[in-house]
Amino acid sequence: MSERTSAKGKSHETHTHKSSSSNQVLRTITFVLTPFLMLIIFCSLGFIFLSKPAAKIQPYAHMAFAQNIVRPDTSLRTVNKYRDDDAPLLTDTVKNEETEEEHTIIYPYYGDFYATLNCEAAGMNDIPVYCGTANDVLENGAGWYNGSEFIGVEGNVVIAGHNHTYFYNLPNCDVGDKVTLETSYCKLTYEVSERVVFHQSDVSLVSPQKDDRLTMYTCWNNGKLGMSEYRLAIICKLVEREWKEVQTE
Amino acid sequence: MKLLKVMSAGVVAAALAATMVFSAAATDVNDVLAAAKNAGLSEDTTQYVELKNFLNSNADSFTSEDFDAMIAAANDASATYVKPIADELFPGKALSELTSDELSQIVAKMTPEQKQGIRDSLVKVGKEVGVTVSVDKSDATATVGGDKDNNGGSNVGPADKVDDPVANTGAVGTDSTLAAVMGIITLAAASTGIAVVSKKNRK
Repeated sequence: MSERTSAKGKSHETHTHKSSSSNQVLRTITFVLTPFLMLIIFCSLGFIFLSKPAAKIQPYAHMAFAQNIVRPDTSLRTVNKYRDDDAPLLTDTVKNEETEEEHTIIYPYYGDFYATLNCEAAGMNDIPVYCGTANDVLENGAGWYNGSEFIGVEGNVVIAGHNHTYFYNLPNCDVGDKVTLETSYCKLTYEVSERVVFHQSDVSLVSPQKDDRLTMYTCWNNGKLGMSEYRLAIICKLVEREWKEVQTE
Repeated sequence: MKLLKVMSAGVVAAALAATMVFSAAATDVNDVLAAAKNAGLSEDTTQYVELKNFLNSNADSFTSEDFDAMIAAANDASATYVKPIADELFPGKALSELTSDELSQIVAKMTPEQKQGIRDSLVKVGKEVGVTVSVDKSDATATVGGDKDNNGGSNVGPADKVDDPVANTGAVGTDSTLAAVMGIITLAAASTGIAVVSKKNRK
């Protein structure tokens, strides 16, 4: 009996010894593996912070942890980084050559909110239009191309927008649809007259034209989103121009 | 007053061509624009509208003397850099008769030194009329930016910064999104790994 007990004891000892060995192996693996897994976690968090929200909070993080706090030059620019908040109003007078009527227009600063665009038939409602077509401007809305006529001035007004955001519904514009473009000093009503696909190297549609028109364009990838060498232009003829009273003070 | 302006190389030459006048009595924006047309800057080009928008939106910043200074400096630059090539490519053709394509050909034929000479002229003209101009060079595009004034930066007028005629309007900037997605997936995998190992460790 004592032999059996001894045998059982040895077996138990062996089993315990084996369990203890496997636990040791597991613990060893854990101690070695866990730091690497933690490193991967921290690196992953770093990649996540590469995304856009991090860029926006970066100035605040810098201010919180920086030893030498330097007041940024943009402290006067809370609305638009291209101008001071108290930048003076830029106005001018335009004259209708036929009627000789004079009207006041307000020039936007680059990056300023400029107008609101609507084409209800295409599902484009209250699209904000900003001054300029730089990448950072087009992130906020559609952009008025400053090599085209100011809104309200006779000629070709050109507006661009991204096909995956503000001009997503632009391809829905059909001939005959009504389009309105409204600024603080005038409201223009257009009617879609033409749809044209053109190559990005072709500047003829964004160049000055003999008539009063609105040219809106976005990237055209055969109906799919993304970058393309081609653009879809929606050309609209002016139907009506209404001027507003402008407060210049 | 310090202003910010961005131009293509073609616009640099065209803008200088625009200020070439045969009259020394230019006193306002319309005079300069009329002279620009006479000098070969067709009003059917986006460059002409850019120049018009720039001058109109900054008209209060320039005096008659400023326009004269622009004209004089541009005349020198045109005579030095533009006219010789124009005479070579289009003999017997006046600058006012040049089309936008022909003007582009002239710019394309310019050497880097000639383009630098035009940029230097632009900077010099800018200083004389209170426009601060700096140029970032590339072979295809000359970028002009303004220096900061004491208020931390110039107010950028509507046409002080010239954009590409046809902008990039497709989906952009997917790198940060991809990085975020990869990070989330890796984070989930690593966390799962730790959880599994910890559970086995407890057993």
